[in-house]
Amino acid sequence: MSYAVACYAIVLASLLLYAGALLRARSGLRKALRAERNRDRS
Amino acid sequence: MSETRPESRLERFAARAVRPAGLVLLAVAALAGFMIARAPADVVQGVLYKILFVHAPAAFAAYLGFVLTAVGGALYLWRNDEQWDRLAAASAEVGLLFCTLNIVTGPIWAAGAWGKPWVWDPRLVVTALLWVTYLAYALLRSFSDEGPRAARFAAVYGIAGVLLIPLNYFAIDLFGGRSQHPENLQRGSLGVGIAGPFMAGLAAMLLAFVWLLALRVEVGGLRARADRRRVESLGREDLA
Repeated sequence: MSYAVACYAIVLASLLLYAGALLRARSGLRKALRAERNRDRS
Repeated sequence: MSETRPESRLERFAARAVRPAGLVLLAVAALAGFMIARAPADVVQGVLYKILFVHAPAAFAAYLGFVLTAVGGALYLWRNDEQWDRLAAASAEVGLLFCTLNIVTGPIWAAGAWGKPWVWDPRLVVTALLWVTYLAYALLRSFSDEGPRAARFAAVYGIAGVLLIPLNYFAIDLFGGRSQHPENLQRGSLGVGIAGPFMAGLAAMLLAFVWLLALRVEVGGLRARADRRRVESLGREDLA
């Protein structure tokens, strides 16, 4: 039982961590591009 | 065109696909979780065998990632369009994640079933080789300069690396009875009540792959646009 639970916990945690890193990167890049556009306009 | 939109048509398509793919993934993952929890316990292994529902699908997702790496590389060599190089890099990264999950979950199952996490079995050795190959690909990409030379080398490497997939899949057949790894799944080879949860687990894992790949491709496009903007603004500063 504990082996299977450990396995599913590792898989879920890994996928969530990677997805979180990608979502953070996307948000950071969007913010940087928006800031740059605003700087160019002003 | 909005500055926060990704770089190419492929990346804009990926950006549009992220939300619907995520919603479908949530629904299918919930269904898969329910079906796997309700799947009957094995007479010999108990619930240990349920690791199969993530272990084998992770391998299929990794295969898909590495095939797309080769396809992206081939399209880059053919069309000389950077979006295909970025697709290859993204597919390799996401494929490597699933290959890592496969290579981590296998020994956990083996520790329970065989009493030891690793044996020098042909399937296990070729899987480790596959993992090292794409880890090297990812490291190569992260350490080398972004440019046509590195992209061309990565494309050739990605196309050559995909040859390991059939070797990995058919390793058990090629080495005959010497393999300790369970045989490849075939139609009807899953026990009663196991095929449904397995297919649901496979669907959830492949959808997780698609969602993560779409997200990674979008991020790759945004990064390329940010880099291009940085170079342009540096150029303007130099002129000023």
